[in-house]
Amino acid sequence: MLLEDKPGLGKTTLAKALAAAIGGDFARAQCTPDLLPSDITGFNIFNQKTHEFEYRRGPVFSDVLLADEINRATPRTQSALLEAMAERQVTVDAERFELSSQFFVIATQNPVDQHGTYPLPEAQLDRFAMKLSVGYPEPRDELRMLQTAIGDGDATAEQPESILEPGELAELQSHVQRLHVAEPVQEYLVRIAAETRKHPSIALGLSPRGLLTLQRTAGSGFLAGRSFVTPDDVLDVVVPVLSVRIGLEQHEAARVIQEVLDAVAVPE
Amino acid sequence: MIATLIAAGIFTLTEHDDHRHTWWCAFEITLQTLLVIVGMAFFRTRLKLLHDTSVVQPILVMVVTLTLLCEPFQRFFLEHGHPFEVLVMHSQSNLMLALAVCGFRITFQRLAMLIAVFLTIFSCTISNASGLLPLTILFAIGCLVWLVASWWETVDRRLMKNDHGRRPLVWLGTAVSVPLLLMLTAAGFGANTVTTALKGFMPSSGGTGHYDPFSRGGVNDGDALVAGNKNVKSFAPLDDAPFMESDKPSLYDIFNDLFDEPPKIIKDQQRAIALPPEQLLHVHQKMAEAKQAGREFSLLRSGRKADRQRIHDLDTHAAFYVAGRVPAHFRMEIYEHFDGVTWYPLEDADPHSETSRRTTMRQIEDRHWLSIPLTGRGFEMYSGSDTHSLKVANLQGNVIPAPPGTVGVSIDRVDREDMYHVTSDGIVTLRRETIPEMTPIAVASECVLRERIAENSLVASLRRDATVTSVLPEETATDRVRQLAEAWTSGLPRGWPQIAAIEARLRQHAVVDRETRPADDCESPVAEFLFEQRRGPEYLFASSAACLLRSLGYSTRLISGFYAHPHNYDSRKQHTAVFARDAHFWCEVFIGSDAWVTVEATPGYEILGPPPTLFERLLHTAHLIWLAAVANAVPLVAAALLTILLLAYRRSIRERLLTWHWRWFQSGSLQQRTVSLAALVDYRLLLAGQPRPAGTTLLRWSRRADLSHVHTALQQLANQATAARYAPTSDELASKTHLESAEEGTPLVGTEADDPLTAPARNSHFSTTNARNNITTPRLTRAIGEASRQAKRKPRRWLGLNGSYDKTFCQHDNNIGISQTTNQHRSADTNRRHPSATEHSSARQAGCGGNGAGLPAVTWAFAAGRQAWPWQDNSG
Repeated sequence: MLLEDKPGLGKTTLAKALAAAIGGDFARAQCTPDLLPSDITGFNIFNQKTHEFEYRRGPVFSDVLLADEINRATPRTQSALLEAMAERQVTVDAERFELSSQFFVIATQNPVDQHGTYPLPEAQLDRFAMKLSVGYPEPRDELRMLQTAIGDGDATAEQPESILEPGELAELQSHVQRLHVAEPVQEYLVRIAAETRKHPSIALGLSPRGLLTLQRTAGSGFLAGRSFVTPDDVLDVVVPVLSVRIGLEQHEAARVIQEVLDAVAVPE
Repeated sequence: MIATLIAAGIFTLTEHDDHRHTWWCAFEITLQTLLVIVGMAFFRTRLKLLHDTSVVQPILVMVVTLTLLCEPFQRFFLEHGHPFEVLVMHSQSNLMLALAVCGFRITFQRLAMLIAVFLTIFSCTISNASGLLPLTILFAIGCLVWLVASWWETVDRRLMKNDHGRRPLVWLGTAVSVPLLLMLTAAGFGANTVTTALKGFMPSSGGTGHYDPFSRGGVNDGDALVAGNKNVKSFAPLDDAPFMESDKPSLYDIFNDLFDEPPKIIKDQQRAIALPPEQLLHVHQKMAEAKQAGREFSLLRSGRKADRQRIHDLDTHAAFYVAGRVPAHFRMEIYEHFDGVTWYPLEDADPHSETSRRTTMRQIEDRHWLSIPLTGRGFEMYSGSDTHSLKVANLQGNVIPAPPGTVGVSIDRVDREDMYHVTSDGIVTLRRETIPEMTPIAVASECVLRERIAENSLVASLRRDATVTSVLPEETATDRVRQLAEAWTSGLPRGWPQIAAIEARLRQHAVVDRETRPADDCESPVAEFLFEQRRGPEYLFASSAACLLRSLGYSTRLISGFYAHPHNYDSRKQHTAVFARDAHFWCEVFIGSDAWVTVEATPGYEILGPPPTLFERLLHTAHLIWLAAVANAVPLVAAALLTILLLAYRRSIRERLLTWHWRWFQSGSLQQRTVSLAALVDYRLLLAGQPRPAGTTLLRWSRRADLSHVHTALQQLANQATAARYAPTSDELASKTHLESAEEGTPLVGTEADDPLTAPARNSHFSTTNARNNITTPRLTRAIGEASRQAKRKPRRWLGLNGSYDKTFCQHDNNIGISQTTNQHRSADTNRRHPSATEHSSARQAGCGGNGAGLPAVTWAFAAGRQAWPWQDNSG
């Protein structure tokens, strides 16, 4: 998941809260230009005692990896995440290491800063399921935020409660994978993908991998207690899923995606 | 576009092949071309319109129907029609041009080309108009270019596999409805042109044995006889009739030196026009003659059976037929000298006498006209000219019947002036003893506008020198006649007012009665008619008018001839038959400057006025339409009212019909009914002016602010319809379970128990005793609730399944409303009071199969075992 918004809107806080609520191992990598791939994947270190190389695991060996300000890392480091995100494995010195079965990456990035950043390549963007933006809180919420912050130096010190037992997330994921997707809904997905490829404003349409992701994320209907996917579920997730892929500015992406959706009739 | 324009041009040429309306034909082709170019220019900037079916479809339908609808009007009011096949082709031609205008869409372009090819083949089959061959070659080249160009244009699309757009229902519907429609048409109308056309697929007039008044081909069909060029079997009075060897008197002489049968010796050789032998047609059988201008039916039927093999002569009692405006007077003989009992014609027998008019021959559009100078131009009384076509059937003598004011006479191929003779009175004769039977003669004349004569004070104001035309026989009755004439004209100035007064008074004075005749020993039939009998035949009216006018000093003469009576006009043949009984007498009065004006004193006989202008014709047509409308006022008003009501309430009516259809004619499972109900509500939203955009779902659309009052009901419906539409069927579930168990290699029973989604029938068991499945812990329930709240969703989305509602959807004030049953309200109330109990109540109702009214809509999902909530328990 890619969180993109302006600084100070609580991206990192949200990512940490999400990771904590899900439970499992949580690791964080603060991306900077001097961050090396081995800082993410881990590296072999020579043990003076045993006279052998030992593999020291990086933050990628966790259930949830928070890659903060990912666009500050060099392309080389960003690419190190490609394999981990796509295949849930890393290869270090020709040796393959399996990652956690429920491994996923929450990355944040700041669209304002342009100096010293490296925009994520399309190949990597395609590996994110969706792009979300946090947005400014409502005045009422801001007021509450201020009230709770009085006298409390560090509001983030409060640890969110973990609501999932280890393994429950995997269980839920397996249920979502077994949701029924009717043929008209799948046709609808395909038509949306085709429309993105035709749209004049979109340089790079939805890839087949993106299409698979769209179908998988449309399983959000499971949250509503349904055992099947409806066009409404697709519409619920289509904006974040598409906006990470079509390579447009946030506000521009929303408009273009609405155009795409208007052009494709929902199945009757 | 060019190819279709050529095709349309070819068809227009074919259409006008028979009529020789060259200018009209050119005008039509130009208009077509202009319209197509304008239409193309219009759509060029508005390409989007072409993809909007609601714009294009009505245009195309209108083009076709308007063409067809024009025909009844044309037949009814203008008395001119098209044969069936030409009519159909005409509508196709127009459709083709409209499609060509919309040709930016490739499907339209293809259809237009298809019609163009068909039209061209049709035109080439039925016509041999000049100019058809080069146009057809051009068309073929155009087609070829189009084929190549369109292939190249779409070649990239061909390379891609295109497998969408299969709509079996539409095809099935078309496949069933089209033959059904054809059969219905054929069965409903019996043996008519349509059925005949359907039988033979290709419509044709002629040869089918059926009667069509406007068909123009074939010997046995139709009134409008057409000259045959090949295999001639009958001969009719037509301009382009072929020339045949015949022993009958003919206007034409063809020298034939071929080695053939000995030439037939014409019994009665007279002056004739020489023609080249190529124009002779050899026919070695007896020819039938059709003297009639059309087909007639006699009540005197002969008993013998008709010989179908031979074509019989169509004899007629008519003296001649007239094509042209009627009523019309045709002058044959002029009498000038009157002795009180007998009229005598003036001798003008010498063809070379000085008194004959100076005539010239003029050629106008392939026809040779004898041009006759007109007298009385100084009075400026002529307004418009008329042409009558005469078809002589049984006319003795050599006088050509011609209307007053004749300015031209034309007989086909007679280009020699010395064939005619025109007397000083304007009577045209042929320099032969007789006019051969079945000779078509065209006569042009100028029409007198009587209002202009009335305005002119110089008319007949001067007394003419005493001639035979102004002399009254000296009798006792002469004074009485003069007194009567003076009494009728007292107070009127000399000139046309007096003439008009005498004419008008005489028409009222006596009654036409052909049986009443003056006694043989009567000394003055005119006096007896005027003062005693006051009834008699037309010649007495004419003579009386002449005498009355002469008594006042005007020069008059008696004319005998024929009166083409409008009663004899046959609208289908477009000819007026003139019989021997239509022989008529009238008189002419001299108005000066060598001009004579017709005076029609017989009541019931009219003088032909000048041809009506376009405005007058339109007025006349409007008047006819008004009369027809008044005659059928009740049904017309009813139809108009009905149409207005239908238009005004069209939305309500459609909506009502759809609702009825849904309620009474919907069959199938509950799921299908739910889905169709959602479609119905969708449609009603459209009718209520809030159409759902194609890109959004009903659920989303129901969240609009202006639908807030029905939001809950709409949401319920949308949820149920979605479930009915997209939930897996039991077959799909079974196959899925089977697949998964096969993949995992575990027993089917175990999988079913473990996976709530694939445990359809075990819902109650699962929700009550699922001890070993720790997913359904309260903890998970809380997590899902949390997550769904985070996603800003409506947390109780599935509650819609809990409610039930009456199937009746009512529309109040153009808004969609769903009248819910009390069960729904109760359920909603419960939810409000005990929010935490919602899931449980839902589960309970689901588990026990629901209760209360409207259950089927609620419980089907559970009855079919499609819904199972993994986190339900019965703790509530």
